[in-house]
This record gives sequence, C-alpha cells and structure tokens, in this order.
Amino acid sequence: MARELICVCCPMGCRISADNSGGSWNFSGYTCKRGLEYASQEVAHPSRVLTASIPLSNRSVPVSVKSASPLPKELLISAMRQILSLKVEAPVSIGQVLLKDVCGTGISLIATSDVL
Amino acid sequence: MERIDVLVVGAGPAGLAAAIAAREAGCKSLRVIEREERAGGVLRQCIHNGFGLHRFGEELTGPEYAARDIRKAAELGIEIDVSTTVLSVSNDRVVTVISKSRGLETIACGAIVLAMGCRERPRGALSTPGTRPAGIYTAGNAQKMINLMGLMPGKHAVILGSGDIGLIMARRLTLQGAKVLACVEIMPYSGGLNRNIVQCLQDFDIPLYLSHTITDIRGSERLTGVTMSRVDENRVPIKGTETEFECDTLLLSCGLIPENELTQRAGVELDSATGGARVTDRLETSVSGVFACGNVLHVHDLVDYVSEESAVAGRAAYEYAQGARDFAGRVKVVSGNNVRGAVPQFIDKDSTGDVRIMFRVGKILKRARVLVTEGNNELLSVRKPVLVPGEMVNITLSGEKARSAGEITVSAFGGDE
Ligand SMILES: Cc1cc2nc3c(=O)[nH]c(=O)nc-3n(C[C@H](O)[C@H](O)[C@H](O)COP(=O)(O)OP(=O)(O)OC[C@H]3O[C@@H](n4cnc5c(N)ncnc54)[C@H](O)[C@@H]3O)c2cc1C
Ligand code: SF4
Repeated sequence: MARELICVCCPMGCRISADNSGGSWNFSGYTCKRGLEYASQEVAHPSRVLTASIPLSNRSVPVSVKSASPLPKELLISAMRQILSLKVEAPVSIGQVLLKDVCGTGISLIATSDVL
Repeated sequence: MERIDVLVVGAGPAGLAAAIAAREAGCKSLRVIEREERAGGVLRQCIHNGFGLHRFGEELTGPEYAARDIRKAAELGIEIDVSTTVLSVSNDRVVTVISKSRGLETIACGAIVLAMGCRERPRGALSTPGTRPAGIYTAGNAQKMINLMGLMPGKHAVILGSGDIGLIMARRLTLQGAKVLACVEIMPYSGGLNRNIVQCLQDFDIPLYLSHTITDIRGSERLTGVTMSRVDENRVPIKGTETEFECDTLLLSCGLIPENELTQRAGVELDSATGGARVTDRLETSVSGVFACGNVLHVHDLVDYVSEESAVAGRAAYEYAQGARDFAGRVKVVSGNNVRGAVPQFIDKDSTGDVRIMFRVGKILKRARVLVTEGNNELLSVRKPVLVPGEMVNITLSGEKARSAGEITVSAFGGDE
C-alpha cells in the first residue's frame, strides 16, 4: 500500500510518500529527521488528543474536556459518542477526571474549564 | 476623579500578561477592565489544544492557558473589573468606563495598555448575490455557540475560507455529530496551518477545494444550499464549474481584524498593513503613555507570543507612569520586499535590550532569507527553510545595532530571487 502524508512538524509541510509493498514501510520526500519520525508514527499508530465540550445536567452552559493523552485516531468518533452520553453535574473544576477509561484505552477524560 | 498608575483595557491573554508584568515590576495602583463576565478573552472558546508549547513546554487547551494567567493575577491581588466596558480613552489618558454595578466612572491614568483583541471579518466578506437566510455564521461565532453556549448551529455545513478557525470548526462540528460537506478556499493555498489541514480535514475525510468560492446561496428563511464554483487566477468564478451542496449552515472563516475603534478615537495613528497602532519597541503608540499589545496591535497566530509581547507593554507602561523620560529619538522600521506589517514600526533610542521584529510575508517563499539593512549596510541575515503568509515570522535584532541606525528595512527573499 502506498500513502501520501503531509508532515505537520513545521511550515515546510513536506509531502511524504509512505510505501509498505516491500514488507516494511519505506518513506521518501521528507527533508529532516522530524519528518521521518512523524511519518513512522503516523502510519503505525496515528493518535490525537480529543477535545470537546459536553452538556452539564444542572447548568445551561457546557464544560470543555480533553483526553488526558492522545487517543488512537480511529477511536475519535466512538469516543465522542461515549463522552456525549455521560451524565456530568456542575460544579466541575479544571483537571477533574470525568471518565476514567475512554473506549477501553485506559486514558481518562478530564475537564479543561471550571464551571461553578 | 479617580487616579491610578496603569489601566489595562481587556482581560484576554494580552491584558492579563500586561497586568501581571506591571504588578511584578512594582505597580500597586492598577486596574484591568473587561467587558465580558469572565476574564480569558477568546481563549475561553478555543477549547482545542495547541496553546502554550513555547511558554510552558506543554500543549494546553485555550481555557487551561487562560486559567494559568487568571490564577497568577489573582495570586498577585490584581483587580479585574468584569462586566465593565471601556467607552473612551482620551489623548491625555482619561478613560471612561461603564458597568451595571458602578455606573459611569472617569479615571485619570498614568499609562494605559490597550488589549482589546480582534474580531472576525464580517459577512461583507461574502460578496455573493442571493438572499441572506438564517444559518450563516462567522466561524468564531459558531465556535462560541457550540463551546460556550452548548448550541449546535446546524446539521449539514459548508465552510468558506480555510483559516485556522474555520478548519478547527470543521472538526468540532463533525465530532459533535454534524456533517461538513466541504471547505472552500478562494486562494490556491490554504490560510491555515498544515497541522489543522491534516487533523481537522483529512482525519475526517472533509474535502478542501482550493481556488474555489461560493457563488450562490439558497433558502428563504433558513439556508437550504450553496453553489460552489472554481475561480481563475484573478479569482473570478469560471462559468460551467458549478457544484451544488445541500446544507443548512455556512461558516465564514475570512480572517481577523484588530478591534481599534477606541484606539482611533483616542487619536492613535494606525498602520494600514496591520490594522493596529504604530508602536515603538516599548509598544507605545503615537499617543504618549498609551500602549498596545496582543491581537489589537496585530493578529498573532501563537498566544505564547501575545503573552511575551504584552509583558513588555505592561512593564513599559508602569515605567512611563512613574515619570516621563526625555525623548531620545527613534529608529524607523520599514517593511521592504515581500514583508507586510513589520512590528514595531519604531525603535526607541533610549530603550534597552534586543528587539524582536514580527511580520508576515506576502507570498510563499522557499529557501528564504530575511534581511535587515540600513542603506547598503547589512545588519542581520537569517535563513529560513520556508516562509508562508499564514505564519507570523519573528526575528531578533541586536539592540546595539538597531539603535545606532537611522532607519532600517526588513525584507525577505525566496531562494530564486
Ligand atoms: C478562534 C481562534 C482560534 C485560535 N487558535 C489558536 C491556537 O490554536 N493556538 C494559538 O496559539 N493561538 C490561537 N489563537 C490566537 C490567540 O487566541 C489569540 O492570539 C489571543 O487570544 C489574543 O489575545 P488578546 O488578549 O490580544 O485578545 P482577546 O483574547 O480577544 O482578548 C481581548 C479582551 O478584551 C476585551 N475587550 C475588548 N474591548 C473592550 C472594551 N471596550 N472594554 C473592555 N473590554 C474589552 C474582550 O472582551 C476580550 O476579553 C486563536 C484565536 C482565535 C480568535
Ligand atoms: S520533514 Fe522536516 S522540513 Fe519537512 S515539514 Fe517535516 S519537519 Fe519540516
């Protein structure tokens, strides 16, 4: 399989071609080591920090949240479904754990703002 | 009339950093005026992460970044008057503010720091024929609706403009359950960061149409659809290239402009390239004792630099309030080849320290070189792999070299020039 990636590590935005037809991944088009590291990570385990805002059952304003560390990219949509169904009540404070385990990853969901 | 040393207008990251720096320099009589109910500015609605990497060495979300400064300000006992609006600033530093709790107040200030931030280019940016049904929002307003009010603007959306806020909203809408059909950009390149193109569009298979624009809007009460056309090199729509989208929401992400009504009425000179005040390296405007920093001065893309710049303004404002100094002359900073809106526009001869100059380039420059010159004399030459219009460039010039010059020019060149 051949894939085209854009390196996000600096404004150059190098287009990196990734090819694993020879069994292992082979990269070309990067300009520096960071690009190579980015591409290797991106084809093996792409992951992202999820940020969102979720409703509070006893307030009209929502609370903003994030995953404590990056989640596998393919889980973002199901993670959203899970966190939108949470029942959370104010008060909530920054850093408070709202869910211990997002989608079986062991990664927690924490509040990023205070709602008194 | 109340008299204070330093008054800061706005409690976003710029105002907070200025106030903290002034207090840390010894300023006791200090007030921060904020028209919203809470401090934090636009960061409160920027719930995505990516803030603070330079300053704190970790990636924070907007509210978390703001919370650090708010906590710091509270520890230092800084008074922030929320739900209070600054109505006017005079050129002899008298400020009028209004609030429900205290009514109208007039305050005589030793120095003033303007930190009102910026706002989005309004709908006028959309030069399309047709009606103006409900369902058309600026990207920032949609961001406020979803993230601060918990309201969804719609179910099927098209985004016009590929600035970072638009890209970030494409992802927010998708995660929150809406379908984003397209992101449409009139230029042949995106105005947003690569990171946002990848993580906000590609991750969710949202197509980006470069060299395209919206040429028609349909719907009477509520938006029902838009038409997209390809444009030629002069940005004129090409007949026969129309594509229709059915959508109930159109977000406009057409850039930001500094919010300078107060500044202008105070008689401060503005720079047509940045839309903000013309300032010295102390961040002092053309009106003596009035300083400006953050997005009201020029639109930044990294909040870390906003905080850094604003701390300089806060310290300089307190210094000014303590006693006027003699005017020692200024070095003029000129924006040269490919350079737009270099800030500061002047360097005070009697200030100290190295000078950071920030600017944007007019086009993409690969294997670029930034030059600072005085006449034929080269003061600084820096190589950069690439410079893009969407990212602010900053260079640091030795204070000694800068202050011995009469007028300096900042220019940028691509490898082929
Ligand atoms: C939508 C969006 C997304 C962004 N994303 C990123 C990102 O991912 N990473 C990053 O590093 N940076 C990002 N930025 C940039 C960063 O948020 C800004 O550079 C920063 O918030 C600017 O700070 P400021 O204090 O100058 O302005 P603001 O945060 O806008 O604060 C100005 C304050 O002044 C107040 N005010 C205005 N007029 C008056 C008045 N007359 N009286 C009293 N108060 C007044 C306002 O209410 C506001 O609170 C983003 C910006 C926006 C708009
Ligand atoms: S490969 Fe290196 S030069 Fe190219 S975008 Fe990535 S970090 Fe920048």
